[in-house]
Amino acid sequence: MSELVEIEGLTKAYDAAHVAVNNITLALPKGKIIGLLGPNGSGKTTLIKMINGLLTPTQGRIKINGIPVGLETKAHVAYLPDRTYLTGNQKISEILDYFADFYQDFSREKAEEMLNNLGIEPSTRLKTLSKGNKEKVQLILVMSRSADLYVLDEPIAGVDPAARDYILRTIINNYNPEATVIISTHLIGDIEQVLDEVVFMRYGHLVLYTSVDNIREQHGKSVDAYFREVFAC
Amino acid sequence: MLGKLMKYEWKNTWKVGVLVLCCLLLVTLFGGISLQAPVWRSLSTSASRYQVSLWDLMSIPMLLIYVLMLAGLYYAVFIYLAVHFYRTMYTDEGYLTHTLPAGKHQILISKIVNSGIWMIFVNLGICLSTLAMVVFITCALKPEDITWSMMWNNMSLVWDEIDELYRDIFGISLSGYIVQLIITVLAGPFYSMITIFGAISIGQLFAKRRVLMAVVGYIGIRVVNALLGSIVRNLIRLGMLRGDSGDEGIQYYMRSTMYSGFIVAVLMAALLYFASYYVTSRKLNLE
Amino acid sequence: MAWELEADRPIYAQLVERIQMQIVSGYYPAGGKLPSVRELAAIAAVNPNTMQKAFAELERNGLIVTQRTNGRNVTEDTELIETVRRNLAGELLQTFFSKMKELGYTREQIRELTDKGLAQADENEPAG
Repeated sequence: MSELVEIEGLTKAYDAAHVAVNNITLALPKGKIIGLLGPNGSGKTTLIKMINGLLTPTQGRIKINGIPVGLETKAHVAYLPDRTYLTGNQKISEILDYFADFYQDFSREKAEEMLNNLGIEPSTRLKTLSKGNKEKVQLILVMSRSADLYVLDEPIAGVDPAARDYILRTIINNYNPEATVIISTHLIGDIEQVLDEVVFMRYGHLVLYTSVDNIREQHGKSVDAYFREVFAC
Repeated sequence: MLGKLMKYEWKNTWKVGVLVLCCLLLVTLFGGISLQAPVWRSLSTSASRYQVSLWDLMSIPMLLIYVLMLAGLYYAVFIYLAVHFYRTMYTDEGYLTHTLPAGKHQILISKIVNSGIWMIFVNLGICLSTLAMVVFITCALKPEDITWSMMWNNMSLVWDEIDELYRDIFGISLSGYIVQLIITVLAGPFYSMITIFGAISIGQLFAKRRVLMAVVGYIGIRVVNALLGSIVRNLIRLGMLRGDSGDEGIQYYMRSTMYSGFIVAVLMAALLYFASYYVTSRKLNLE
Repeated sequence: MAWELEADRPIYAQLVERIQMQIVSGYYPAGGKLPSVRELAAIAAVNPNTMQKAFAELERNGLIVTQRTNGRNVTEDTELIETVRRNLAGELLQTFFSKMKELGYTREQIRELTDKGLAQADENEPAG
């Protein structure tokens, strides 16, 4: 049985002096929530963009379900970038149309229900929403898909605790149980209790890939505390 | 998938397109008004002394503004479509475009076709506007005793007259020329869009200043286009001379220009389409 | 609110304790229905796999029974719940006694302090 995500010798060098991701080899299984952890600038977003085919690797390969990143993998990967890719003029209902048209695994009912719970009308235009609600709408779109892999880039950066709980709950309640969720963050303490496994990155290198329980059992401390210790400098 | 992509391309651009066509209508009315100045009418009457009014003085600058506005609208749409391409492909919105389960050929073709169609509409609009101006000026210059039906009946005569003129000077019939014009109006827009999209995509190959590099790239493409054009034109002329096809003077010029323009356009379009495809499928590096 | 969990122990063990506490305290009554793994994981804001592991542990010790058609219920065996409750209380008392001994208190003193403490607690928390 092959792993869900297979990364082999992956390198992204913008130029000789700036290697964002440095020779990473990693295999991620199905059915796990995995934290991609590291300080800002450690290469998390670069790695995520390569998984989604938005950056071309300098070297190495990424396969999802045994298929190299491309047209076929995109139908099965749900991606929440660290920025907004929607335009403000669109109505929520138009955005739902768009997702329903392009993603076969998108459940419009699910999305509408979640929007309804937030009190967001489908007829509203995106630009009239608050920043927090815009981010939630984008999360709802992503989590309304029944994907094999969810890749969420910094979903809880800069949100208050209530919004953080909402976001974590939305992820837990909606991801397809067969699927794997990758959540990148530099705020480990906030999400470590939802994680099965963690990947530590620093300066573009893979530092550690292990389970949360392993860290807690072997080191007797939280992932957050352990992370601080490893990265103390 | 291509159909869906086209649908959304259309949805995202039709408002601006319609707005521009409405502007075109207003500009045409503006041009028409400029031709209502009394001076135009005076040209066809035998009044010996004509007092030039302020209205007449305004007429020529207004006509000039009309022409500038036509050109302005054309470039406005062109630039809008180029920016739309850039935004949806290579900025934050590109994060959505390039994570859709759609092939790069499909994405590119949907954008080229949609933009091309809008440019055709604008081209047709400009043609209609010009035609309307011809009608306006005919109204102004037409002597009172000549009726529209007389003019209509004489159209075929005029046609034959011009046709002969074209054959004599350019070695091409008037209908041939019109066919050429139609091809240019219909195919030209696709070529223009492929060119600018290619330039924008080539800009993405650079680590920094990608928009600037796109502009530089576009200028470069135009230069290469002109160079290639003149090389091919001269090759064709050499061939024509050696073939001793019996063409002479300006006829050589017209034909060789026509053929070389066509050949170079097809060549460059193929090359630049491939460039866009290569960048989006093999060298995509969104910032 | 997400459950507050301690940083230095495996999460699943803490979930087991937490649910055990909710069962013996009657929050989930004997024979009552439990939320699904997914629901409870979302409420607690923890990983569903971890919650699953906690449920499995509770099933093993009999506090939770899985019915094929009806999801998961708290056991109807009140005897068992009572035993667990007594064990939990016993553990707490053991810890208390050993800590008090470390502080140097004698049996008599501990009893005295306990009575005083209880009286104080009654005052702070009027019946009703």
